[in-house]
Amino acid sequence: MTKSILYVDDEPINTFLFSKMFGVSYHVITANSGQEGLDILMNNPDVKIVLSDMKMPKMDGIEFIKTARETFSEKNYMIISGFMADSRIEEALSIGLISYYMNKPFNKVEIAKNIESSLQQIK
Amino acid sequence: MNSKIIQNHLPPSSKFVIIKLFTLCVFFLCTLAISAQTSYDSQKAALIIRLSDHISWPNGKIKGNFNIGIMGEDSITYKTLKDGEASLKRQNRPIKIIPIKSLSEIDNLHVLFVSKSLNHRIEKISSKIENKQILLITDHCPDPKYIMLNITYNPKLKQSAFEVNKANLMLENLSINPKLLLLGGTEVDLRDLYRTARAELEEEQQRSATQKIEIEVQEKKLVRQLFQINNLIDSTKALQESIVNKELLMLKVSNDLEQQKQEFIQHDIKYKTQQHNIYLKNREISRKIKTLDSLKLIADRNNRVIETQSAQLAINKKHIIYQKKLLTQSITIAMVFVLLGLLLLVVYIRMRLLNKRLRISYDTIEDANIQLELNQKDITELNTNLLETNDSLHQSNENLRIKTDKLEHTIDELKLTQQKLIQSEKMAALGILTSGVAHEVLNPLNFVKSGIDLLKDSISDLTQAHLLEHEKEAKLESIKELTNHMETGVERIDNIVRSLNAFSRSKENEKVSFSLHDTVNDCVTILEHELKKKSIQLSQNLLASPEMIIGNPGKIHQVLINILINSVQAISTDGLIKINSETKNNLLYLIIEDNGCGINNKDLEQIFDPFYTTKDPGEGTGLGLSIVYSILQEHQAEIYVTSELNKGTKVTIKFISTNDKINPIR
Repeated sequence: MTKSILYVDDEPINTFLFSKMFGVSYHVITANSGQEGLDILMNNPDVKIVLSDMKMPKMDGIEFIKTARETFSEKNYMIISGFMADSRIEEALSIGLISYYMNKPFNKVEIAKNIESSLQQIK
Repeated sequence: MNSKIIQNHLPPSSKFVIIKLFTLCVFFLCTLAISAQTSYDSQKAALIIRLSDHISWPNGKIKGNFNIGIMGEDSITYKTLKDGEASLKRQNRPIKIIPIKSLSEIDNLHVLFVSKSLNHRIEKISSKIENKQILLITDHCPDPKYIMLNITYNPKLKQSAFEVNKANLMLENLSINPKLLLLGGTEVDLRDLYRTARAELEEEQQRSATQKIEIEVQEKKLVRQLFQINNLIDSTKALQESIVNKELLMLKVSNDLEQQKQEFIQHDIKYKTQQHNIYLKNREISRKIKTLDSLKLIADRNNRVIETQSAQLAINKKHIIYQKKLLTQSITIAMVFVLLGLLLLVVYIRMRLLNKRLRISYDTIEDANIQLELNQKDITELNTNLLETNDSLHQSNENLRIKTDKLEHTIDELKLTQQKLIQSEKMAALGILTSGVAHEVLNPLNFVKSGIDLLKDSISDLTQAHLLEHEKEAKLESIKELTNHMETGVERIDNIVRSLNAFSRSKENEKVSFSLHDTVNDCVTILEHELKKKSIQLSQNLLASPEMIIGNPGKIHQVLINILINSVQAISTDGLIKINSETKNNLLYLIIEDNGCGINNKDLEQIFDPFYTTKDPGEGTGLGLSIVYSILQEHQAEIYVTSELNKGTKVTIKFISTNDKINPIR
C-alpha cells in the first residue's frame, strides 16, 4: 500500500506540481490553506508525513503545524518555503516541531530523501 | 587629751558605747545639714499660703477655687502644697494647686509662684501678668523692680524671710494687710529704686546730648555738602548755557556757510556771465584792432599820397619858386606840416584810449581766471571723492558677487542632498519590500523550474515505444497543462520585474505623461506579498480610463509605495485597504484608505516633517512622508491626510489630470 502524504500551499499551481512530482511514489493529498489541511488530517488518519508552505493567509505554516501537532503528535512535519530560515523556523527545528526545512523552488531529490528518512523514523 | 583620759578610765565595753554615740551624733548633724535645704522648701510652701492670706483681691475676682500656680522647677514646694491642697482653705475658697508650663495658662490664677530657675525670665512673666490681678510670689528674685512678694532665705540664720514691693501690688489692685510685715518681711527701698532709675535717666540724657552734638556736626557737614552740590549745579548750568551758546554759534556758522555757498553759486553765475562778456569784449577789441589796422593803412596811404603830393608840391614849389618866389613856398610847407601834426595827434589820442580799455579788460579776465582756478580745485576735490565712493561701491559689489556665488553653490549642494535623500528613502522602501518581492518571485519560479523537471520526465516517457495511444494523449495533455503553468509563472515574474523597474526606472528629472492607474497597479504588485502576509484585503475601485498625468512616474511610484507601506504597517491583522480614484473639474483624486491604528492629532500635525517618525529606530527613516510631500509639490499635486485613532487613516492626493493620452510609457 502506498504511503499517504499531505502537502499544504496556498498556490494551487504549487500543489498541482507537487502532486505531479510525487504522485507516482506516494498517495499525495493537497490542501490550499491550514484549515483545509486540518480537516484532511481529521479524515485521513493514514497520512504520516505533512509538508507545508510557510507564508499563507490567515494561518501560516508554523501555526498550522502547531495546531495539527496538538491532535496528531505522532506524524512527521516539515516546511517548504521561498524564504530563508528565520528565527521562528530555527526555533521550530530546535524544539522538534518540524523535522526538516526546505527552500523553493522544489528540489525533487532533497524532498524525496527527507520524506523517506521521516518514514523510516516513524517505522 | 581629755578623751584620752576618759578612755583610760572607762572599761572596754563603755568604749564601744561612746564610739556608737559619736557615730550617731555625726549622723544627726549630717541629717540636719541636709534637712536645712528641705526645710526651706517646705517653709516656702507655708509662706506662700500665709502670704496669700494677707492680700485682698478686688471684689469679684475670686470665684470658685483659690488658684495657686507653680511655675518652674520646684518639685518640693509643689509637692508640699499639693499635699495640703485638700485640707486648706484661703479667702474662704478651696485651694487648687496648678502646675504652669506656659504663660498662656495663667489667666485664671490668683497667686503665681515662680521658682528660682525662672528668675532670668522674670521681666517677661511680670509683663504677662499685668492687669490680671495676680499675686506674683518670687524666689530670690535679684531685681526689685519686678517683685510683688519675694521669698528669701538666710542660710546663716537658717531662716526664711520675704520682701514686699507695695507699688507693684497696688498697680495690680491688690491691697495688703498691714500685719503682713509682722510675718518677718521687709519693704523694698523705693528710694533706691528711684535713685537707680534717675541715674539711668541722667545717663540716657547725657547720651542723647552727645548724640545731639553729633547730629549737629552731621547737619553742618550736610549743609556743606549741599552747598557744594549747589555749586556743582551752578557750574553745570553754566556749562549747559555755554553749550547752548556754542550750539547757537554753530547754527549761525552753518547759516553763514550756507549763505556763502549761495553767494559762491551767485558768483559762479556772475563769473560765467563775465566770461561771456569778456568773450564779447575780446571780440569787440579784435574788431577794433582791425579797424585801427585799417585806419593805419589809410593813414599810410594818406602819408604816401601826402608824400606824392609833397613831391608834387616840391615840383610845384620849384614852379612857385620859379613863379611866386620863396615866401609862398615856405607858407605852403608850414601848412602841410601843421595838417600832418594834427592828424598824428588825433591818431595818437585814439590809440591811448583803446589801450586803456584793453588793460581794464585784461584785469577782469585775470580776476575771473583766479576764480576759475579756485572752482577747478573744488571740482577736482569733488572728483576725488567721487572716485573714492566709486571704488568702495566696486568693492561692495565684488563682495556681493562672492556672497551670491557662495549662496548659489550652497543651493546646488542642497539640491544634490535632496536628490540623494529621495534616492536613499527609495532604497529604504525597497529594502522593506525586498524579502516579500523575493518570495513573490520564488513561487512563480517554482512553477517554471518544477514544470521543466516534470516536462523532462514526460518527454522521456513519450519517447518509450510501448506506450498506448490514449496513454500518449494523456501525457501530451499533461505537458500542455505544465507549459500553461510555466507560462503563468513567467508572466508573474515578468510583472514583478516590470513593477520594480517602474519604481527605479525613471531618470531624475524626466517628465512624461503616464497613467496613474498603471502606477497604482505596479505598486500593488510589489506589495502583494506584504498584503498577503497580514491577510489584508485590497479593494481597488479605479476609474475605467487610464487617467493620465504629467510627471515623473518613478517618483509618483515612490509616493504611492510609501503611503501604501504606511497603511500596511498601520494594520495589525485582518485589515482592509481601499484605493479609489475620482475626477472632478479636470482634477484627479486618488484616495487611499485603511482601517489601521490611525494617527493621533499631535502626530498628524508633524507627519510631513523630515525625520519625524513614531516607528522604532531602524524601522523607518522618518523621511518617507516628507519626501512624499516634496515630490507631490514638484508635481503641483496636493496631499490631505485625515485620521481617527483606532479607526483608520484616509489619504487624498489631488493631481492635475491631463488625459491627453500622448506618449504613454509602457
